[in-house]
Amino acid sequence: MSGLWDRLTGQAERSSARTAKERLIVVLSHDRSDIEPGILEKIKNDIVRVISEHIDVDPSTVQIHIFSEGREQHLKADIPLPGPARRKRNL
Amino acid sequence: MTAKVMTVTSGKGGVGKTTATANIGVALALIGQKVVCIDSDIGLRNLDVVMGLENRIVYDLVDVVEGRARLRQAMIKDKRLPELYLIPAAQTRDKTAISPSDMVRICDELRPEVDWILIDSPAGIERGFRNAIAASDTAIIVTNPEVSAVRDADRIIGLLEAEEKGPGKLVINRIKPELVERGDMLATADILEILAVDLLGLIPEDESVLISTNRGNPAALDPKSKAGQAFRDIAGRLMGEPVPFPSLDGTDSLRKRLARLMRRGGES
Ligand SMILES: Nc1ncnc2c1ncn2[C@@H]1O[C@H](COP(=O)(O)OP(=O)(O)O)[C@@H](O)[C@H]1O
Ligand SMILES: [Mg+2]
Repeated sequence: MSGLWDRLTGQAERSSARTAKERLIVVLSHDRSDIEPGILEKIKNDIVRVISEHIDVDPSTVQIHIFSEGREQHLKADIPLPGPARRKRNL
Repeated sequence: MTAKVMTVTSGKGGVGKTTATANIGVALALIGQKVVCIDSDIGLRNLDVVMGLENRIVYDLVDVVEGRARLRQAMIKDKRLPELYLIPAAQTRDKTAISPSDMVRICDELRPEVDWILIDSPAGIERGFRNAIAASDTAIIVTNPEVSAVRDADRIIGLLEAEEKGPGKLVINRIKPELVERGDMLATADILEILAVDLLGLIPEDESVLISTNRGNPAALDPKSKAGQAFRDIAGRLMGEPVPFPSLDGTDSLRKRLARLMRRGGES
């Protein structure tokens, strides 16, 4: 009966298979690309430095990660732009 | 005839390569194809016992490579089927006894004679793997619905791509539908999404595999075996037939169960 209760309360969402899938996705993104995590951090710092020459970005909001599309690996950088108030200050 | 050479591989050991090689070989032979299975797991010979041919070995793969026997002499004929043969591995040698070019030479000699050459590969990604894939046209990657097996399958697919052997085709073995349904086993769709390769077969966990292996009669010979049927389905797909994939994700979905529960609740 507890199995049914888990399902009704949404516990099934956190099934071990789902955890397995999520862990696999992370592990494989590292396995597939030969890029070490340290390199990603360096790339991120370089991007922040270059962009900061032109726009005022908050380094703590910049994200860079690898994701898969099929068997292809992509490097994705997400750089949130400052809001209008901060942009004005820059001018 | 020009045989198609298929290597059955996995990276991880114990996922069912030898079982798959024997059963796909049998299933193809059952529909009249001429098939040679080669055990390339030198030093850990196993395909002979799974196929039930261990008592008839005179010469092995290494004897052929080293010139003590002709290819024909090392081909053991399966008496249950008209055109199924096994070339066994040597048991007392290791992987270095053969080279990738030996495998290419042997397969080239066999190609005009048969329809299919199935190569059972050892676990790992070293010399034994290189030997096994050297002559292959397509790889069959066997995995289990389990984190480490899927991870190793991904590594193998990457290596196959690097060797320009194509991405290969996936066989997911030892699926337990109840566990998938309960959310405790990776579902087929998840594995396919992660590995992004073509699917060739879905094999349920089935005790008839153990029983048939005990007897040396591959499950594909047993009309009642579910795993045997799944291997016969693979043979059909290899022949180009559009054999549908049965869902092994549980007998009925959670939604159906809930709907039934609601209905029952309403009745009482
Ligand atoms: N679908 C299945 N159902 C039950 N047992 C299986 C199944 N497939 C393989 N096995 C068992 O798993 C074990 C390992 O299989 P094997 O084919 O020897 O793996 P590998 O060649 O990859 O090392 C064997 O004992 C075999 O009988
Ligand atoms: Mg084996």
